[in-house]
Amino acid sequence: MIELQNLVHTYPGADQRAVDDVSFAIDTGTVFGLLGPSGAGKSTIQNILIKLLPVQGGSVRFDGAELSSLDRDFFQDVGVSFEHPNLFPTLSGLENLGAFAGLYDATMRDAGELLTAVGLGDAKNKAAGDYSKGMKQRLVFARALMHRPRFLFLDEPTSGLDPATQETIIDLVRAERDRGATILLTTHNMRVADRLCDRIGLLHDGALVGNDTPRNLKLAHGERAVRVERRVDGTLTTETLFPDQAADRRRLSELAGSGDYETLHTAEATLADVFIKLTGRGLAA
Amino acid sequence: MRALRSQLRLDARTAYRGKFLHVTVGMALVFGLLIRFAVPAQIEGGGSELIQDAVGLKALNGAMTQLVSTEAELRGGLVENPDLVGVQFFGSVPTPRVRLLLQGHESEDLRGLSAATATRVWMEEGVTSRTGHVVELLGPQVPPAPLNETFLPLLYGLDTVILGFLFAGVMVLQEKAHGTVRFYRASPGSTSAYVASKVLVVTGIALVGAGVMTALVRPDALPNLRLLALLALATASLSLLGMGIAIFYDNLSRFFYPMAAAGIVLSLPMIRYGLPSAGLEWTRWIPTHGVMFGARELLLPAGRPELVTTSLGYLLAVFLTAAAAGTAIVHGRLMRRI
Repeated sequence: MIELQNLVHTYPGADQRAVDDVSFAIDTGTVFGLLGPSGAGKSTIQNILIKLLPVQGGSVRFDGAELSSLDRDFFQDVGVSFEHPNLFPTLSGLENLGAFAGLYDATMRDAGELLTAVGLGDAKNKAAGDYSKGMKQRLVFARALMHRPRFLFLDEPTSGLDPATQETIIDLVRAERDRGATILLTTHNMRVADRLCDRIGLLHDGALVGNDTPRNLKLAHGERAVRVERRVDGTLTTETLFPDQAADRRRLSELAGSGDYETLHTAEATLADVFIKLTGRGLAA
Repeated sequence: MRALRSQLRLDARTAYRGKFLHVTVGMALVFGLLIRFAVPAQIEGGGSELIQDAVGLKALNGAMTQLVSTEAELRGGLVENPDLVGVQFFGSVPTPRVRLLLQGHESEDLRGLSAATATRVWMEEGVTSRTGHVVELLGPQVPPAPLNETFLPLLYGLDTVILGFLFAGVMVLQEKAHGTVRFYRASPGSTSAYVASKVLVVTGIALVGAGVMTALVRPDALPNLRLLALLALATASLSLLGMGIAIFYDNLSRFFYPMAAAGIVLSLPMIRYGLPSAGLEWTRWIPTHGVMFGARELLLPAGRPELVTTSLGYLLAVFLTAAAAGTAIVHGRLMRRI
């Protein structure tokens, strides 16, 4: 379990806090998504959790132990996938996965199998410097899994990937969670966050403005809606009705009763809608 | 230890793929072949003289040579620098006197040239006959060093050791640029393993280059452990310095300026090596000095075995200081700064 209590961080020379009194907990074996636009403080929080930045204020605990009291052995249990690929360009994909293998006590996964799992099986002997951006992203992700870490930090792991490859990564993250890993996912991709995360923290200007399951966030802050498609004088029209409003509820009953419609869909609020409602701005980078 | 082994494998592999070894061996081959086949073993010419003028000779007034005022200074200077020939002028015009103080490794040509120069100086004072001279040997008489072989210790200092500085700096800059040092920081790897691995790899590569040069020029010197220790200590020290400086820069083009400055400073002992009368005694504190002069005494003995011992001792002290400072800088700047 990872617990953050009243975490604050200010970069040298900055007027404003990059992380402002943030508290949340990630239960063991769950995925927690930090969702917010660029500059919201997601990467700063991740960097504090992996000791790249100091804890300036507040506290961070891993399984009850204060982060500042943990020595380098702490990293035996930590896997990190950085947003910007940090690879040895002259080494092959296989060699990159094995590069730091000797530093860990754990039995390593089979690098070849892992590369195949992320779709890099055919490129495993190619120099990483010749990989495309998406391939590098997958290689960095695979490297984070090599030593079967208990704590996994994934910074935009699906950034720049095509939808099919995104699915592969989502499946692999779920498998890690099912294995018992505690995962922090930082992203501004609401679709990935919605599908993958057990809980989501919404970050805005360094502050946590929401923290709940994706479903609860949408129910609490989104509006229930029904989208009705029907033909009026031969032209297809779309009508959005909000069942929480009495007039719309009556209209919906009429349409449903008369059968005068072609399609009828529930239009659930998205996490982006929730974020806009809570912060007044969008999630785009 | 396991972490160091792992890091060593990684650094050796990246250095090899970065063509560090290819460059080193290529340069060593070029230098070795040049010394072996292009530079002659002997050339005509004079040596560097240290002169004590107890007379006040006109010819030496304003001469481009190194003058001392007392015999003690003269003898001290000759002990200090075994490449110098001492010339002592005393007596007066009716009875001119010259004493040549030789180290023992000078050629007959050099002795003759020094004697002729002394005669010429007295002639300026009005002496018409050839001036007789006495010779004092300061050390055992040994064959003069072949000129081409004297280039080998010079290149140990200018090539082997300076490559250590450059390669270590470049390795750190590359890791900063690729972001791999960031990943290392989020791993169980320690600062000491990170530093030690790079120093060992860079020193190993530089020693391979030195070995190639030595094999071409003086194959009999290859198993010399003291020579190996001199080169290893100096190269390791300079690789720590290169690493410690590179940390403060973000890219190779900016590192070029300290790289050039370090190259110039590290080359300064070369002046004293080639032109002993130039003085520049302070260059002895530059690590390449110990390598050049210590290695020369090992390869081309001139009766100064203590030069090897003092060079080894000094380089060991430099290495220990550089190791402590280098590790502290890497830890404080590279392993903590985002």
